[in-house]
Amino acid sequence: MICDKCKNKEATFHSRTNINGKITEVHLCDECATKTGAYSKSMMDFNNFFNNDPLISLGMDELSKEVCDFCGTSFEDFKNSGLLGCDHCYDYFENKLKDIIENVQGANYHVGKTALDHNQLTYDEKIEDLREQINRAVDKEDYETAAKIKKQIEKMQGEHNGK
Amino acid sequence: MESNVIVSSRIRLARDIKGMPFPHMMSNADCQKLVDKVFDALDDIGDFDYFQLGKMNLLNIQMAIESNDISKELLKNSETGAYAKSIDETVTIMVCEEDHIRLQCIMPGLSLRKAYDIANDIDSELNKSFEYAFSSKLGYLTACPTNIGTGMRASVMMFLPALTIAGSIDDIIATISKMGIVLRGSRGEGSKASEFMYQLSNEITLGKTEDEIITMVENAVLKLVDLETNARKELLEKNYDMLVDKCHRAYGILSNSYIMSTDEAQKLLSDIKLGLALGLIKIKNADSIDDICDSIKPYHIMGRYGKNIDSETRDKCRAKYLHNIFANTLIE
Ligand SMILES: [Zn+2]
Ligand SMILES: [Zn+2]
Repeated sequence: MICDKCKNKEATFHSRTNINGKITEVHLCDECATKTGAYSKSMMDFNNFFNNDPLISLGMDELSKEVCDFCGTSFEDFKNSGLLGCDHCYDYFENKLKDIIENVQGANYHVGKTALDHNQLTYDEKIEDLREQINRAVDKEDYETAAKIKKQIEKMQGEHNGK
Repeated sequence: MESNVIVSSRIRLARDIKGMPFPHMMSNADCQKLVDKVFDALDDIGDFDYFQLGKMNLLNIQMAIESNDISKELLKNSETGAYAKSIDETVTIMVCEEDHIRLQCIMPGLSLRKAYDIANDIDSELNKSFEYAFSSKLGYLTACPTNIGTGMRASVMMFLPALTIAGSIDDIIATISKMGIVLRGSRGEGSKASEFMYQLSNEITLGKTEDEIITMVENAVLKLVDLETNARKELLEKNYDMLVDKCHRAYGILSNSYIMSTDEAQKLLSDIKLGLALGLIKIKNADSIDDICDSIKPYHIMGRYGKNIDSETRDKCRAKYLHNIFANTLIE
């Protein structure tokens, strides 16, 4: 069997995991297994916080090497330290962070205090932006998020009319 | 009874600057620039004392950590990490800790709302000088995703001797964790049982408003006050003589020793606090007991001594200090 990663050498590291019925197999050559840390990272000690099977992430190895174009932090760096490098990382790794955030926070949408907007988006632009977010949530059938954004709009309208 | 179960309330807000790498990615020079800007902005907001770790001696830094003025985390940035403390000592703002700005307000008793109002006002003022990293979807963006959203941790320090002695704490931790509340020993591992002090706070920061989070924490606090109050009644009924003996014995040792380690002192002081809370002992300096608990820690001892000393010498200093504080303060 040939290594999944370099598609060149003979695979010596084999692993098969079953996560909720989804079977993932990984086969790596000795060199790639060492490089990706498949040997050293015992399957157990991987941080549960990420609720992410290490071998699945090995499968996404190319993605893990991607770095935030603003600060140079990789997703691997984040996994090791628990810290992102800058606020752009949240956009850059949006898809991968989504599950982690839902897992840790039990929520995916902010409803509290709003930071002062230094760009002076007008009130109408902000409402418009939020309406678009509602549409996107509805498209994804995420009605809970849509309802929360609607509440946020109502709150903003209330504050706006109060001024 | 409520007053000697609830010790203090703390609101902490984590804030980062838009488009600036988080502190662990910053050079010392950039950190220093940020510190200067934050201090400048604070100057217009209120009366603060300013501290830069790089210009302080290690003794004073460690004392500030022992008093919970600043976190150990700030020390990771030992050259340019800095903090400001309000003159009335209720507000501390750390710069270049895990996040660019960590603002905290501590008030006595159950006063999360009051503490939040104060922290919120300073936060809004600071926001005029700094554009924060913020998204309408995820709220305030922080270095660690466990703090995004409100960026707020609302904590209440609680004194729970009866529940600790009854062995109920682990069950309580399991029960309230389902409500999104974390309860942990407040002074690090090891000393938790001896000090009877716990910190209760919200686990999540996203998807709930500040008001909802505070209500959640307050409700959990009130529930714990009930539990502790009942546990104290039961404890007194069953073990009155033993408890009176325990706190007087602690008083005896604290006021008459030649060598005293930090651990032993903390244990004995906890027994005194238990006796005070249950009305089993009367001493003249009852009001300053929490300050005394801080003042016997290693760096506080060395701070008063004026230089580093070995642990044997410290233990003798601590015993003498406690003798001076406690001798002849017992009210019969
Ligand atoms: Zn290979
Ligand atoms: Zn980044």
